[in-house]
Amino acid sequence: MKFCFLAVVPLLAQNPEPAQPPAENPLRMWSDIGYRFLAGQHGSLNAYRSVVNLGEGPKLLQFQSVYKPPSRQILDELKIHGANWGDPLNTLQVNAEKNSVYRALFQYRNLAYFNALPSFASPQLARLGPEAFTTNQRSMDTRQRFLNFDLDLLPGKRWQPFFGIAHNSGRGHGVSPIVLDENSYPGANRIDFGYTVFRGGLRYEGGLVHAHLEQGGATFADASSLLNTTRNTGNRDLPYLGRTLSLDDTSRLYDVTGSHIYSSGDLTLTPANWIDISTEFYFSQPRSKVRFNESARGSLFWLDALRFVNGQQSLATGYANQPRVSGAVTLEVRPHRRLRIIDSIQTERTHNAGSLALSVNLDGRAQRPLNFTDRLIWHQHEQRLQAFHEVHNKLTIFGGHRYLWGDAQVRRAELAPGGPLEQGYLNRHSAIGGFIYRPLTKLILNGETEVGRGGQTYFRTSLRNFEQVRLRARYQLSERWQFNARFHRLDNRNPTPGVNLNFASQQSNLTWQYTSKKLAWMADYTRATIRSDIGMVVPIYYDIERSLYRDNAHVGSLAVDLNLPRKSSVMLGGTFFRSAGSRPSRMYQPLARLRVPVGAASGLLVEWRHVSLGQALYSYEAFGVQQFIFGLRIGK
Amino acid sequence: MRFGVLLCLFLWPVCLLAGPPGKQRGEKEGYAGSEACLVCHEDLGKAFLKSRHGSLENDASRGWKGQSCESCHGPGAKHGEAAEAKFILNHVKASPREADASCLTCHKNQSTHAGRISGSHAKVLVSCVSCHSVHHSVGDPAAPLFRGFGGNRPAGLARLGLPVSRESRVNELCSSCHMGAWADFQRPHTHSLAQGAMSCVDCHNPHGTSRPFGLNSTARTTNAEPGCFKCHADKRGPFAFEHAPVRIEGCSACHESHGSANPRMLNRAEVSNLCLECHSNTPAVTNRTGTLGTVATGFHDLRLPLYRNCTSCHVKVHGSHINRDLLR
Repeated sequence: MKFCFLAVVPLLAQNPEPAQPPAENPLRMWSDIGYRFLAGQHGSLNAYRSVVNLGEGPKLLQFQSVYKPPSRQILDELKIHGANWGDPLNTLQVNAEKNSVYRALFQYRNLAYFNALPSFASPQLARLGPEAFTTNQRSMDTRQRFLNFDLDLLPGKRWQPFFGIAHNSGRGHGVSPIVLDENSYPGANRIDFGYTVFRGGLRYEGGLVHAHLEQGGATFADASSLLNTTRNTGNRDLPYLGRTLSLDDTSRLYDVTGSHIYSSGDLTLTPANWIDISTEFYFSQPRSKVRFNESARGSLFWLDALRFVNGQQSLATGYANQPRVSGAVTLEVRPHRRLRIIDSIQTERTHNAGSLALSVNLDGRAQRPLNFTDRLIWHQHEQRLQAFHEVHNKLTIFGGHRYLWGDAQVRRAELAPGGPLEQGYLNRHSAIGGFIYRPLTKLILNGETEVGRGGQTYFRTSLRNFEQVRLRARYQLSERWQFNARFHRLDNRNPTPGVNLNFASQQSNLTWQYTSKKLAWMADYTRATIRSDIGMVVPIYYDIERSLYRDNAHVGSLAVDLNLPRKSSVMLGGTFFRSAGSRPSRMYQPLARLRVPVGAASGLLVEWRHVSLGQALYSYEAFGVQQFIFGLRIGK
Repeated sequence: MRFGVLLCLFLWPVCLLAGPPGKQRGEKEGYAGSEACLVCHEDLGKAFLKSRHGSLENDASRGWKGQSCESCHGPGAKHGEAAEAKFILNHVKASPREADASCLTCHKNQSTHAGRISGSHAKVLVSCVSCHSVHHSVGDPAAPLFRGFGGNRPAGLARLGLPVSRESRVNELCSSCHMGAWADFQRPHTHSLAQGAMSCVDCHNPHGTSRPFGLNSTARTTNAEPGCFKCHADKRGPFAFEHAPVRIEGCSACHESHGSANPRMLNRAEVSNLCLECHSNTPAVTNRTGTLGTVATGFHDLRLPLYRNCTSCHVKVHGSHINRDLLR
């Protein structure tokens, strides 16, 4: 890395010519502020927050400022843009740049992640009845924050050093089950993790050679914990070996730290105007360490000791190491003006090795320490050859072949017979074909199909024998009218006895749009279906049953923009979603928005939106709410 | 680190030997200069000079000082004299191959373009100008961000979201072609695109990667890990006890990342079915499927509510630091 920096120091000294100053106001800014009211709220508030999560109160809906200083010594332009401040999903972006010197980008995002849907994880639904409709054992109320800063230096026309730092964190609380052998008990969960990555590198942009080298490193920390301080009988309805299991109090603490280094690069060569060679590589070696401390009191059953205990304490230290290498080489050859051949090969190798040392005290007596190890080895490779032939200016056809192969090795389940490791393989050939047809300048038709046949797959639900078709048409009837149509279908089958997978998904879409100075509208309709049928083994009886999944959905959207006199505008529209099948749902979101300018540099904004969700099988998760926004635009 | 230094050492002489960037412009035959272009194309020219590309006009180091229009459109003297469109390259009307060749003269391998050759946009001849409005600044309110055929900007569906943010403008552009993806985001359980907090490019690299569907990677250029971990860092691991599908097939093995009618964007309505569809291989002696995923042991009595939702006990389903059965 030092070598890279030394190499560019002389280039940093180059002094680019200053750009001519603009003849305009150096600062332009505007912002939309408003207040959101919620009215007519009914149904589940938790479901509303899990799906929409927009609340009442004052909001800075969006803002933007652009500063172009007259003397461009430090920067040519500074741009700040943000949206949704006051809402639980807010963003900020700052761009600064000076021509031929630097380009900087700062991004901030703060997303609330709230999820509390009893239909997902409430094993007590059947026992507690309506009371359980408000409980969820996998709920969370967290903040996911994301910060990113990128700095690209532009000292010359060829070499470009760059640096970056990114941070992602999640903090909050929730409910999560505390699993203690034969029972699980909902407990308070504290979520607290952070991941920070630093990177730097060098780009070279030559006429015939483009290269990119990057070196990075990261740190990770997770200090989540679980706590229960009241007597809790957990999710087990029936006594276990004649005794009711219960938990009086417990604390479970994780202290996970990790580090990660990676090197990556890509190189594109154009040795002649008929050939491009592109290569990529990536190497990373993330590691993590964990310290774990748990203590619990109650009436518990400890499976390893095969006895009931009144208290237990577990201490564990663990370690995981996951070297990972991937690479790709792609060759694009153009032997003729109308012929393009792309050949690529990719490879990816991941090895994960984990170990854990666990010591347990039961009723104050130390047990024999236990050691566990784990392994995951995964190799995957892909070779793809495709040829594109421009038959004439209006028609291009393409075809090719793709071969995917690999193997995976994982630890076998504890009680399963056989060796310690379980192996899976992937082996699949597929043929690719398609066309792009432009019979008119304003009409494009394209189609693509892929037919795959596989000998082996990693998982029962993976792609094996499949056919996939995509068709798309786009037509501009006039300057005002435009039509789009799209069709996609995927069929996948695995005829292996015991699996008998039949999967089909289909999506048809039609969009119609009109644009004029006074009126613009766009209407969109989608019909989407998913059908899955696979054999699965049900424990206890070990019968093979069919697992059936159906989703038949209609989705529509309409957006109408109407420009009124004096630069006012109205927007009307909305979306609907209706589905039948395994989880019938209805979701409607009609919308009306009015903008009225007031004076030269301000305007009024009024918005109404109705959001409702209906759930035929989970009516306790239905909701409806009216949202009103009254706002003001300041600046222009 | 060692890899980086070695590759740098290898590249250094190659780069020195390589030719200068951009086109060879020793001779200027056929070039008219930007001033001549502005006589007829004043509006475009003014917008262009304010854009990032406009720096070409004044930056001598780039080699196009005073000729920035012709850096992309080619020599314009003949076009100016004859006033006929056929003598100049118009990227919107040209074939995608010709249009891309012009843009890629300079933009061949910037960081976002790694994997362009393997990317699906390039393969189905979606040219750069299908999405980029080359003459305008990003964020310029006059810019027809949505190109369409004539550069007209229709009522974008994505504008049904909150007042138009940068993210929703990106979504508007992508959804104009990827209508199926837009429809998926109208389902109840989705990522927060409709709220304008995320955009398509948070997960996808429209310039192409060698990952399927142009999915972003966590590092800026490479394709080793899915970009989901960029925000869901707690699922990244490595874990002492991994759950194989997370590594091998990625998040989409269980989740519909664009949207689903099922909570947590799962691709099945019942969690137990989702798990058991893979965990149904009978023990190795009789397993003829050759796939990973051993059947659950006999005490999992699915008649009891406790066992209907596997994640009620297998809490660490994405991987565990502590327990090999992913229980804690």
